[in-house]
Amino acid sequence: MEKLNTIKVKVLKAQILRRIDALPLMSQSASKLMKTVADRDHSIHDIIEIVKYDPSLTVKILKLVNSSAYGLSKSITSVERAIPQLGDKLVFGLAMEECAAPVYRDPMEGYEGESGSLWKHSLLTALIARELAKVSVHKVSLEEAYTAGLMHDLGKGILSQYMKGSAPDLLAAVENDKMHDYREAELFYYGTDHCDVGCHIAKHWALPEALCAVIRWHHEPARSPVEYKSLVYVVHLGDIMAMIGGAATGADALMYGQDAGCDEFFSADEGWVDRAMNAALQEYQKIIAAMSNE
Amino acid sequence: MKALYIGIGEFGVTNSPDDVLKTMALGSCVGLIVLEPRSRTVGMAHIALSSSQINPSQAAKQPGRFADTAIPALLNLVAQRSKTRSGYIIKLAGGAQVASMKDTFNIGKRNILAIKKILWQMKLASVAEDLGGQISRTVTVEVNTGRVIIHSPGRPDWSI
Repeated sequence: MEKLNTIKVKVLKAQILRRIDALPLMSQSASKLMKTVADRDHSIHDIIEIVKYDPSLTVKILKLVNSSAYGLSKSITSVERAIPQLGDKLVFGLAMEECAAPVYRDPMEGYEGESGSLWKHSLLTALIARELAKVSVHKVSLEEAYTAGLMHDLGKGILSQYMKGSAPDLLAAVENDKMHDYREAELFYYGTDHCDVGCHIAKHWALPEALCAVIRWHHEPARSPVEYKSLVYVVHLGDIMAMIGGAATGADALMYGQDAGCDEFFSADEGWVDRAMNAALQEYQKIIAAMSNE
Repeated sequence: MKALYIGIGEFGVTNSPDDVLKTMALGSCVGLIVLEPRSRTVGMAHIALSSSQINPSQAAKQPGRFADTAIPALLNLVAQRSKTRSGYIIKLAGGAQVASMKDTFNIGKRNILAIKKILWQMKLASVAEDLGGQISRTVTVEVNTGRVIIHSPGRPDWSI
């Protein structure tokens, strides 16, 4: 496979930008939930107030809470009772999954991943990032870590559509040590990478600067702006841990490295890591089972 | 052909010749495969973590999740189905990591070490394995042939 020449890179970037411009804007519910969840003083009542005016999100929440994975003896028919069962983070996750469906539900052919794999990977990254925020040496909001984990790989859902058939070549480039990681291979062959594409989606959705920094630098955390570095490291490691936890997006699984600076940013021992992975995997399995039973 | 899926922390056994046992996307988790060739019994566990000490109550409900509880549980199940406790063929796949991974976070390495140590203590050993590296593995075991096929996106399939 040959790398794209300068003209083809320009054409590709223009196509990607047009594709991003055509994405629906972030739904009002998702946007409000993102702000509310980020506010540490929010209450579950604030979440209910947003959701109850969104009929399609309400239906999704009620289907999920009444699925067999939650094992409730009586069915729940109101968001007031459903939301405390699911928790605010999952409700926000569902709102994101719904409004960003064209990205999260992409078949991921460019990565030879399965349909839904980007959503699953993002969810497990979010759950692990929330755990990692607890052992970050510098203070990181658990809520922000979760949100950032959910959104860090948005660019893959779009870039994948332009990379069909490329996985064996990009994989070989990394395995033969020609490229440092899969992101670098994307950049070499296509003149852009999933982090860069993700940044354009973040701008389209007017996401906060901290989230843009995570999306841009989660594979190169040492290069991130100092004010967001701890958050970026949390998602960098959460991303890797989600891949080793079995939720990857396809051929790029595990084709990234752990940044040498992680030691400075986390205070954790092996026992804590195993317990955190176990807790995150348990919650992840429950959510995925509930969503597949919807 | 019927596929029996083994999820994270689950284990299962079959001796129906048309079945395949399948476990998806092993990262640091390890797939432990036990074959009893005379009765053509095949068992598989999807082991997530090395020690049940991190959550004993969970291990009681879901022994397949941890190496120290999964191995005896799977061997017992294979023994019940095959009516024998000897002549097993053991294969292992998984235990992956990423580049430059620090030991603290290297769950795959801990899983491999724990599984090999427990097997050794039980006077058992694997005859074939595909462990470690930066590879996500989906493992399929054909009951009829005993073939263990490994699939990883972007690569041709291989078997052990």
